[in-house]
Amino acid sequence: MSGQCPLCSQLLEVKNPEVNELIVCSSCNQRLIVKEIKNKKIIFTEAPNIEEDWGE
Amino acid sequence: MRKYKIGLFYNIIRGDEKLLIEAANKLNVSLDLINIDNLILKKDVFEAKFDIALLRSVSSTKEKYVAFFLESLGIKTVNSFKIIQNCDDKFFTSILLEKKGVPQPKFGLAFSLGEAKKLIEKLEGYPVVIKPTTGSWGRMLAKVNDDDALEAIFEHKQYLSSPFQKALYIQKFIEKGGRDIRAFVFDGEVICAIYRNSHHWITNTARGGVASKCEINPKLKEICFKASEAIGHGILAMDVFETKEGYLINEVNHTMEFKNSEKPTGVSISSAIINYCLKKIK
Repeated sequence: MSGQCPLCSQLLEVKNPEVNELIVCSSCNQRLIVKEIKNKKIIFTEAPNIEEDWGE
Repeated sequence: MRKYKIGLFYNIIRGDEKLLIEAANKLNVSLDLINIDNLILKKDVFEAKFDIALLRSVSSTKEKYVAFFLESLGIKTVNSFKIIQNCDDKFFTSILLEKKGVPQPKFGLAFSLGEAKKLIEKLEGYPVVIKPTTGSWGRMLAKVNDDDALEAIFEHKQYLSSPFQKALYIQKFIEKGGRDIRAFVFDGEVICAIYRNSHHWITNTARGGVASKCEINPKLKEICFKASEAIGHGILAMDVFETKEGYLINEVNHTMEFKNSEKPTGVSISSAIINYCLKKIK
């Protein structure tokens, strides 16, 4: 499934996308979140700020 | 036989959670994906439709509240509130390791500049590393080589809003020789380990460290078991330094990232986590 980066418009493919999934745009490196999946299209939004514990 | 369901608590689905979802599908285990940010933690509002909670939040503050709340309802969580609390604060972890005699870099904590200088003398001088007591990805770590740098770091910290930044957790700097070890430890047993190779003294893979397989040996197993015992077991990721005198435990993480470690080790850490949860249900 695919959707466009809201910042640079790059078409991004995601295998088995999940709502709230984190991805990084392959073109502009922006961190994005899958906001919703509508009519087999992914709507992305900018990811929230990094929280305090990402486990490494 | 009844099919068990795991409640996977998250707020962002990273590559790690994606692997957990894939592993659960392969193992024919049901997952209930629960976004922590959409929860109301109130006894008569919350309805659990799962057998055990797997906590995978990127915020340990939120994770602690969820763990404590779920445990109050009699729901098992992986990891438990106690383990999360023991790992969440690096100073608490160091104290627990010290009590059990687990080798680690020399450390201490001070609240003022004058006492920090005295502490550094007790640590046999510079260089030292000043770390926030909570946090990950090596963020806001400072390698401090002299009094001038210490004074600058101390002044900068006074302008940070988090009260945790006012505590100066100081560790003796350890020369790592371009790598450290990350061991994945389940109830005291090392299931696999990677080297994190980097020219920078911060070796986190999230910061550019390159992962390669680390063979497990008896000494690594022994120190990881002792550290796991000190924390209270559970599923842990331990950062281990190699020194001439032997291994040192640097940090213990309670909600580990592992997506960069499955390929080099050939071990499905995600499947191991799902199986661990199933084992804990029974």
